[in-house]
Parts: sequence; C-alpha cells; structure tokens
Amino acid sequence: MLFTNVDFSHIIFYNNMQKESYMAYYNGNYRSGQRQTMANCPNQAPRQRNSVCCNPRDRRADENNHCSQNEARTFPDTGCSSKDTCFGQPRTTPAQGVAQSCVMPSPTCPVAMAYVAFQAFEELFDESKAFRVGTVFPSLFKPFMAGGKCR
Amino acid sequence: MSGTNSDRNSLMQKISECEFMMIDLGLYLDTHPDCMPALAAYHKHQASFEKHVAEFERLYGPLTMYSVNSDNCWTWLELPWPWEMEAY
Repeated sequence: MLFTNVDFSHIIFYNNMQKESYMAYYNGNYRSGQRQTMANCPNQAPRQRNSVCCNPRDRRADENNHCSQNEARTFPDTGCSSKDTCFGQPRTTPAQGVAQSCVMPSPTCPVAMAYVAFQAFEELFDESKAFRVGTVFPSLFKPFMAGGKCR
Repeated sequence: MSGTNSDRNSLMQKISECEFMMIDLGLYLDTHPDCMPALAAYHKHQASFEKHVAEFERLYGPLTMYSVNSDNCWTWLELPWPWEMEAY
C-alpha cells in the first residue's frame, strides 16, 4: 500500500554562465510553461548568503563559516564540523510560509544534466489528513488544480 | 464481540492511518537515514500503531494469522472475513 506523490515533472537546470537557475516545466514529453527563476519556485527557498556550507567536497568556508559559491571545486575537509548541520546539502531558511522541500545537491551542478532536488524534513500532516491525501509531507502534496495553476 | 460497528471501523481507520504514516516515513528514511526528527516521528507512530492493533485484537480478534492466541481452536477461521460486510 504505497501512497507517495512524487512530482517528476520539474527538471531543474543551472546556468553556470549567469549563475542563475531556471525551472522548466515538462508536461509528458513536451516542454511547456514559463521559465522562472528559482526564487519564484514556491518550494525553493532563496539562498542565504551566510548559510553554513555542508558539502565539504564542493564549498569551502572561511573562519567565519561564510561560503563562497564561486570558489573552485576542491576537496578539503573544512566547514562541516557538526554532523547535525550536515546532511550533504547546503542549508537555507524556508521562504515565508512555505516548508522547504528541495535543495539542490550542489551549487555548481554542471549543465546538460537532470537533477532531483534533495528533500528536507518539515512539519508533517496529521494522521487523518496524511491518509486522505496520500503523503505525510506537505511539500509533496500537489493536487491537480485546473486553469494553469500549480502548488 | 464487544464494541459497536462504528468503534470497530474507527479503530480500523486509525490503524490504517498509523500504518500509512510509518510507510511514508520509512520511504523518507530510506534516503535520509540520519534524520533524527523523522526517526522520532516514525517511532511515535509505531507506538501508536502497536497500541491500536493490540486494542483491536483484544476486542475483535486477530488481524493477521500471526496473532491468533487461542489454545483450543483456530479462531482465525471463525471470524467474519473482510468481504463479509453483513457481519460488520
């Protein structure tokens, strides 16, 4: 008895040249919808400048724990001393009122590859609501809404 | 059997809900094995599930053939089957 609603229709591309990222909406095999920056994605939190970096393979923190996203990829073991903050992805704060559900595996994801954003924990639905809608995670609750809207 | 039909159905509903919470949290924990809040939530619903199942089996008989507790007869066969709705 599996009731997981996972939305595979959003493929996220990073544009390394402009250091911006866009979300393309795919409807079946056809690309449709508008390009919008990640800042407008309801489930993507805006990246905080002072977030603690938690992927030692991709980012380096200075002594104040500030991360530079533009540094070359190195493999020093720095920045992540506390296992509590490091789940292998950068930590950002949620956008207002929206539980953060997705974090990209790396800020320097190369182009021409598809990625699946890494899910983060959030406050769960209560039991009866979860059973009714088919998921315990509010950010995985994506009911069909006619008229071009999305959740 | 003690209890009314609505008690039985509502208890069965609670069991299904707790079981689902465990299933979905289990899927999440498969990819996030170190996530402490998820583990805590899993254990909370696991305890609730076990409590409701014990209560159900105490009142209405075994839910699975692994929890038949009778010594002298095989009660698993005696109880109404799930599709025998007239018995509920």
